[in-house]
Amino acid sequence: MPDNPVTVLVVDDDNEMTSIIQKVLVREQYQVLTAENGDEALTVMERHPVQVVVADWKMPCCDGMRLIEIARERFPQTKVIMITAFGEVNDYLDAMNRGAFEFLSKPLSIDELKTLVGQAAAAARPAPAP
Amino acid sequence: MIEAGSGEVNAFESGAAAASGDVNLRIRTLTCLLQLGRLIEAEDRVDSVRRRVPDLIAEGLGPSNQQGVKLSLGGFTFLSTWFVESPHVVRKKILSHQQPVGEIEVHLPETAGPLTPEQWDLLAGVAERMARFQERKNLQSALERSEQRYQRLFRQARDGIVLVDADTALILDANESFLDLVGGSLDELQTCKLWEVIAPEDREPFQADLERAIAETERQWQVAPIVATTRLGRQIEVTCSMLHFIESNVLQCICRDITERQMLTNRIAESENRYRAIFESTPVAMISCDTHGRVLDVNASLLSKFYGDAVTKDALVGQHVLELGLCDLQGRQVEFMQFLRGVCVQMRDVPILESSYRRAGYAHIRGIPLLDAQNKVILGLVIIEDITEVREAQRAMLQSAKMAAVGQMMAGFAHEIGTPLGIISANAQYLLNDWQGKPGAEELRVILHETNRITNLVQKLLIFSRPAAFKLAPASVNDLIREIVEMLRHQQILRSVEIVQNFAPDLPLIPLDATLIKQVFFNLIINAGQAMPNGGRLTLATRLVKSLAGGRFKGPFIEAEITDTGIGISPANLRKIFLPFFTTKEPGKGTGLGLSMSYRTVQNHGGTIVAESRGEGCGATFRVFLPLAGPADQTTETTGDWMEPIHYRGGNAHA
Repeated sequence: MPDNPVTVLVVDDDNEMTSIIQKVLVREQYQVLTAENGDEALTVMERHPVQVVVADWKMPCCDGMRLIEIARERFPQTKVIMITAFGEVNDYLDAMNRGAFEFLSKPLSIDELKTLVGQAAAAARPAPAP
Repeated sequence: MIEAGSGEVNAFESGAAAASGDVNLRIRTLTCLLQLGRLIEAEDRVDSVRRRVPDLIAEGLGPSNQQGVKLSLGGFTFLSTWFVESPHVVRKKILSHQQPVGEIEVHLPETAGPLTPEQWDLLAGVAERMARFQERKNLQSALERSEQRYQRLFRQARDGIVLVDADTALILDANESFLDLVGGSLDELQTCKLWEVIAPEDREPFQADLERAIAETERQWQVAPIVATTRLGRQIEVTCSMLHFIESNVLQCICRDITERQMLTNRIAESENRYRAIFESTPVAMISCDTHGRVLDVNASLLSKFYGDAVTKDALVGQHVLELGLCDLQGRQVEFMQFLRGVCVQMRDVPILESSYRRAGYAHIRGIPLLDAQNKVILGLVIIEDITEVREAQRAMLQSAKMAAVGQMMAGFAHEIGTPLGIISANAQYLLNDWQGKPGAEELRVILHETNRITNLVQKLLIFSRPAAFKLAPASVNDLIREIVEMLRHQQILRSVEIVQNFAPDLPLIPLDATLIKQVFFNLIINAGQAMPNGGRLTLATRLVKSLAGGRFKGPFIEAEITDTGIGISPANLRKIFLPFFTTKEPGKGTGLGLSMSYRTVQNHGGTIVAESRGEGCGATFRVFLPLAGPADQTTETTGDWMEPIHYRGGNAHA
């Protein structure tokens, strides 16, 4: 594990989904935190610096859309990757317009998850000085 | 005409006796008759002639052998100045048209002998003259009475009567009623020709009509009436007849004032026109019939809706309403015809029979009796409201509502399944990563593979349940169908099928998503092929249609028709055919999504699909309607491949 690992916050109301994403990312050497909804995610982010958020679009309480808005305002450095149901073009456009970094479509491809989180982490953490 | 009385025949007719008479007596006879003749000529009054006749006869017969003469004529009796009744009487009957009208009695002294032939001649001569005189007088008084009657009639008649010189057309006489019609005084009129009392605009035709009428009176007593307007503006109907006199011919014209009648007639005609206009222009088909149900009239709507204007009204008039065979009353004919007994009859959703002029459909039909003041049926009215299009639109609307509901349900369903599937899939991927090359990896791959199969199905369901965005570009429907046909022509499924292509040339290009519409035609043609396992005929046709039922869809459209001669579709299945997962194929052979997705696709293009079948074994027809204008509410800016999952892969979206 690197000295200064990238912290990824996984936000999903489905514990099984959170769990599998967490397993994948931990194996990829990320520090992984979890939250069940947007409100909880914001609380976590206030306590721990988070570089990447992987959040479900549809959640009870504070959903993905509000989470992006608040996160952009309060944590402009954090990259948010949204997960949404298959083929919801409007959600996709909405999320991107509100400043999501990337977009993951269900069913989740683990390879794709790894690639996108990698890209987000690289973007969030400035490249080390040569 | 004058005959001797029965007792005196022999003496009167004896030529020998006449020849041998006394000359004086003959002279007296002649004098008497001469005087009688003068008297008749001079005297106009009947009585004064008849009164003097007995004396004349007495003088003629000579004073010696008579006691008096009695004349009975016209119900009166006249005696000679010197008259003594005697039992010795000779009588001479006065006969007119062989009927006794009077009698001359000569009372003779008892000693006197029989009358001489000269004396009989005298009596006979007087009798004859008196008979003629009486006849003439009767005739005269009859004429006078007739003249008076005519005058009364002429003066008091409510119709105007005018007598016109047939040669000059000058008015000779006219009654008050005629003066009322034309104005002016009789004196003024007597200087006018008849047409001068007619309104100027009518004068010329009237003159022509009158001259024709005068000519016609040569052949017939009365001629057809002439209608004209007088100078006072009254409408008159003139009936002419010719009165022939010795010196001249007089045309008698009876002029009836028809102004009111004409106004009434006009009003009736106007009303008739008004109601005819309503009858003709109403969009509802109407038939009027007599009390036996025979067609009297049909309106334009009936001719166009039920006969495509290929049959004229005359061909239908006279037939029985039921004979027209427009609707299938399903054994309720007698019940329906009750409207001719005075009961309003209404039958809803009656099937319209298919004919060479029109397709099958549905109608509300009503039979309405028209009653007179005594509630007696005088006329029947049959109103046929064609609701085929309404029903189709309702059915389409219901279908579309059903589809929307199913779509919504499916979206929820797909979401619910999608989440656990996603978790299973993610976990399987995670494990497979560790188990590569180890025992159980193959089984794990099978789990992943089967999970993906379910995922694919769920994805399709989601596509189905969600309004899709697509790429529109102008395309030729004919070309798209040809392409599919070429692709499938040699496939097993169409190998024994005869393909008839009947495409309308010069159809415009219309905006559509070619990939999706090709998929629609592909589905429909494959279905048609599967419906004909033992071969048959597949007819593909296109045409331009102006509008569709109910106005729910905006035309014009290109209609593509796919007709097979296969196993057909039962009415029950026809209703469900576009529902998702509905299939008549064997389990495992079809998903039941093809037609519903096609329906959805075409609907998203602003069009619709209509399925028709006359039942099992009778083949089926699918009609795809695609609007020339393209889908109304679809944006062409949104991209994305409809059939593929929308899966964002690029990294430049937020750049």
